Amino acid sequence: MSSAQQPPNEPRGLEGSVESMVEVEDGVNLVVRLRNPLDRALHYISDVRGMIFDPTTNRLQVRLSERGLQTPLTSIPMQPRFRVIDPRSEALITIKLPETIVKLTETPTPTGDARFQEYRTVDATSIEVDIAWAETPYYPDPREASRTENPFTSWEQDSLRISFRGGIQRGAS
Amino acid sequence: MTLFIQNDAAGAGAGNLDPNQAAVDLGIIANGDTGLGLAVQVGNRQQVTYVRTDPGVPPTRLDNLVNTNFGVNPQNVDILVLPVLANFTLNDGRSILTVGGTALPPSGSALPGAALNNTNSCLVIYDTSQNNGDGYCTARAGTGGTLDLQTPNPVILYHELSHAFRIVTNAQLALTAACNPSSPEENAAIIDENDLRNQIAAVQGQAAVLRDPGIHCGALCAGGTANCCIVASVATGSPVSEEVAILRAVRDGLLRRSEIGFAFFQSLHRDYYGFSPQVCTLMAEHPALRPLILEGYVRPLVSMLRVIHEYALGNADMEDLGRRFISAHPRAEEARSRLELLRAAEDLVRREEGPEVGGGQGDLARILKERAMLSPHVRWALVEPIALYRTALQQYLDNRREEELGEMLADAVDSWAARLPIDEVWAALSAEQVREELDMLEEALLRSDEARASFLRRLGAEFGRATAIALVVAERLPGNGATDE
Repeated sequence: MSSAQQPPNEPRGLEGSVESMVEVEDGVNLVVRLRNPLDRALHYISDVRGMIFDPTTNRLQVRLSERGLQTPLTSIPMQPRFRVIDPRSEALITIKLPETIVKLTETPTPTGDARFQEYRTVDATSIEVDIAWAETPYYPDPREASRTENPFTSWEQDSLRISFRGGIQRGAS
Repeated sequence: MTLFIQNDAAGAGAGNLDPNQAAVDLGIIANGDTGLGLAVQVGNRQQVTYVRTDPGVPPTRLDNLVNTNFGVNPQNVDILVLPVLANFTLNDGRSILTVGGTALPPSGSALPGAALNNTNSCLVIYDTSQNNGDGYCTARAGTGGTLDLQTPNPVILYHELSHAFRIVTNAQLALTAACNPSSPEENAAIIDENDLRNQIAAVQGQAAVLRDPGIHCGALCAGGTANCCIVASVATGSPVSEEVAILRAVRDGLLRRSEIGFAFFQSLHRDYYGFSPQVCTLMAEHPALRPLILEGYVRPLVSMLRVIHEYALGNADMEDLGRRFISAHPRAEEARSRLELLRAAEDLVRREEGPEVGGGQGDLARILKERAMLSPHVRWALVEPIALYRTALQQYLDNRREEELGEMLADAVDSWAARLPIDEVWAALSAEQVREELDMLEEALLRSDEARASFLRRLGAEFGRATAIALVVAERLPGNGATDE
């Protein structure tokens, strides 16, 4: 990435912080303030690609990034929603999280049964948000035909990680 | 024993799966063949049964899936369908909304995707929420890759069952992550999917619109799901009635073309579908409600949206508006009777607790008060225009002149337009996007200077903290101060 040649104190890319996290009727609204300290526009993914709730630590990871996620090849891979933030500018994005997250159990079920786990988003006591960004917009890579890697991961130049502790403001809307 | 529907999310709370939707989707795949059924529930799943009489391609394939023992595991649960909702994630955290559906080979099979499956069955997982109502759009054949072809639930399920069939018969073709050209395995599933699209189109008496088998990826549907305006569809008796067509045209033409319009309709869609299916159920239970809903809500809304459309897009001046409104109501007697129904509909929502109203009206009032009226988007888009229409109708019946009526309508539309709900997405836009969105709004909705200024003041007050909003509001409203109301 181009920032490797920059002095250590120079801004290197998208910056951000959690502005608020509020329980609403159908889930949680997570408002993130994004800052672009650079002299060029930055492009980023603005929709949730994945969510991981760790019940042992009550940490919720929210991924606006394809990195680290497997792409089942028998599916309709949906293009992320991309947005752009102007040079030296700030923007607020609202990330809507569901009330609960449901997934299959971690433990194998050799009997053929599908069993599930469900986590309440409001139970999260810390949140980690990853937002993929790049200095260029996404365009399909004409070389991708023979590739097995996810084209949206290939686009991602870096990702912004925002950590937030303190839990969710309950009951407001 | 081969094909099953998981009907309970064992280990998670109730309501996290939609097995009824899966049964409906399989019924559509079977082309309504009455030989399709479900066995008694065992554990958390129900086996699909099928004695086929329909000779069509999708029913024949379904028959093959249901009545062949593929020997995938000792339990003979070869394929298990999980009809999940929007809050489902795969085991690595991937949201189902990013893939629509998938067919996962049994754990330990070493086939691609098996690592995401903890069971020894082939899992067919699909999102029954239609991407939270926003739909899954894929490439329409013959367009070179335009991602505007809706993918309804039965089509997603059938597509994934096509993959599942090749998984359980060890006939899976080569897979890649390429969007274009799609992998051989995806190509085969899309060709199968088109058989079902043909079948559904034939039932509806329409020409089939097919998916391009060469393009795999999809995108959020810019126009939302194919379903539109279900209350209007049921009240008028047809999803292709003139009233529904007008509502759809306003949705897709007036606002949804822009980023802001898209976000607005996402919110409206979410709130509207929070109550509208219940209204449709009420109309089915109490057919006498239909005229009230049709004349008290749907037709007044359509009439007013038509006025708004004519005025906002600038091809009607005030006098035109008055003239058009009057000519749209040639018979005063009919207008009076509509006004009566409008008042009855308004009274229903306004009435305080009191004696129970019969014929489903009490339930309708509750749904409208507790669900519809709480949504600012529903109020602005669906309720306020009806109130404007009622006022105009009253003035028309009071024999106002064309120009007076036109002036009243223009003022009312300007004031209403300036109250457009401001969604959070504004704060995420770049300055250039904010300018474009405002230009678009000024062209399509905010016609008067006062409406524009009023809207800008609200925007500044709401999101002046975002750099782009502060900048553009200051450009267009010098001296306003972005955060001053």
